[in-house]
Amino acid sequence: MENIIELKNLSKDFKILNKKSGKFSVVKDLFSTDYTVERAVNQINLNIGKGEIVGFIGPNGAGKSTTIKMLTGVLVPTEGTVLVNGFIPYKHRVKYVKEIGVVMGQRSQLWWDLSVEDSFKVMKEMYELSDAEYAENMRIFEEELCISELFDKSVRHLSLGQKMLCEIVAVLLYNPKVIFLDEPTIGLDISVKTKIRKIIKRMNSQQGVTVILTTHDISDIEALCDRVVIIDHGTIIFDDSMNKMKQLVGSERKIIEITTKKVISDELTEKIKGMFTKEHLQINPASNKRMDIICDSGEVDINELLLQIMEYVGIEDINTVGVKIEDIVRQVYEGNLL
Amino acid sequence: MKKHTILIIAGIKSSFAYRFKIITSLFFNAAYLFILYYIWKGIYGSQETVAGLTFTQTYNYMAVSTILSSLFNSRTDWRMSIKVQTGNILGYYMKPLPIELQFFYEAIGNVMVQFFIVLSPVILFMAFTAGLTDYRNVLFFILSLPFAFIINFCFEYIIGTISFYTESLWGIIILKNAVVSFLSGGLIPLKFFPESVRNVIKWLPFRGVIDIPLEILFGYISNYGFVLKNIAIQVFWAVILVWISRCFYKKSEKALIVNGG
Repeated sequence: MENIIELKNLSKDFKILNKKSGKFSVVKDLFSTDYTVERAVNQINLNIGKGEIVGFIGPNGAGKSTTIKMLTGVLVPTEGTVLVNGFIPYKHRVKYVKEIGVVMGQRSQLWWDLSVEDSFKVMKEMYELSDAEYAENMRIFEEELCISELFDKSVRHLSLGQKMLCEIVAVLLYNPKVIFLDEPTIGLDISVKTKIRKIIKRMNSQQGVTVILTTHDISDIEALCDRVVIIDHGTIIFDDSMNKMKQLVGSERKIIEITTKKVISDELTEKIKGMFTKEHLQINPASNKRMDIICDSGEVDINELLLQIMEYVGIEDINTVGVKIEDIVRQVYEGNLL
Repeated sequence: MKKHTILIIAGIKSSFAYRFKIITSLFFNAAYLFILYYIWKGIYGSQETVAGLTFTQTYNYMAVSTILSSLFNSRTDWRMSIKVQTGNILGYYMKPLPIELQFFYEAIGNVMVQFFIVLSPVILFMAFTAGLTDYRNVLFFILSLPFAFIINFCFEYIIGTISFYTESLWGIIILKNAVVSFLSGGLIPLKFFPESVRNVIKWLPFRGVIDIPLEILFGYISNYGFVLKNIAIQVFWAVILVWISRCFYKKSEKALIVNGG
């Protein structure tokens, strides 16, 4: 599979003004040349093949958005190279952006004062689509989303879910080769989220569109991505398949969710912790009658565990789940796993 | 359809979304012209001419200048500043057209409706009452308008690119509006300035926005040399300012830190 995106030793520095304090600090700041250089992205190396759907995640402030902005040609790298479909994004922006589509969950690219249909028509002309191409794509979106119901509405008056659907349609309209989705499902209800995921999957399987998805919604990642790249403090700390990520915590890991009859005492918690080696057991007291025990099966004597709990507080309900990606990601962000 | 056409149409449609604003600005302008009449009447008092102009000449000048000022005002500087603050400027980066052109065509669309609704009746009115008997005045006047628009747009665009640095343009925009209206003939006819000041203003681009079109409209049209010289000055400034706008833009592009993660 050939690479459609290549990042080599990519870095980005920002100059942050050291704000002064005290009298007239605002004026002093105006004329100050006292800057600290902050390295937001540090020597990133990444290759993405055509047709991949890659989840690009990391804690807030990790450098995700900065990297995406360099990939979309908005920011110029301080060091290193960016290549997307043979283009250097910031160098030939006007030509380059025809190859890509960008959807940002918190921003709008549509024309605020126009109707949805008018916005689409502007996109059609700006990207030089033929009448046939436009009609064909519209037909598909009509089938999938009944998009024509929104045609007459002013973009300003759309609900968030409707707006995001329109943003995605607008971007997929001109058949980009790569799409960058930055928090596309933030604030959306599950029904709209499902529709959006379906469209992305379809564009990927039918048109071979490469997808880079930045999100904090782990269910998006689980539903869509084969590969996950985790970035923290400006560097990539994980770049592998979803399966490999699950193995970070051992594929036998399970979570036992216990709801107790009585309030869980500290004594009980300590007792349980003491029963097992810490590495094999983690307790999350989710509420004072709820205990989530994360452990590897086979390394914990479930019988003994449950007996203890029953003796102390009684068991109201019990549920076991396989490993939660969300927990893995949280542990990665907290620096526990890598 | 070409890209520029669709953006102009988009600009026109956008302006329809603010029907109410257009109507109220019509009334506002009408009221302003009314007040203007009495202010200048007061200034003239019992004098026949001031600075070589009769009351009618001055009032006509001021009326058209007021209308031109509001027509050219596409508020591109505001729009850019808001887009930068919200981060929606990113959308402009994602479109396959240079950013200055996107704003330019939208600006044309935005003012076009007002232009036809407001300016045409005024010109007709002038033609009948102010003794604009030579159609060539109007013709060359119309010819000078695109260049005047371009010059004014460049001012707005340059100020707009400053928003990439400073994020809040409120004060700067007000300052720029004051300077432009003062030096372009938008506030008082340039003939009212003392000779020494006029000699300086003559060399500045601002008069290309209001004063030059008006000189052409009310001038002695048989002097083609005069007309063509003035339009040439406009073209000159338009070219220079477009170049300066591009320079400003390239610099600010580097400083752009798009808001939000």
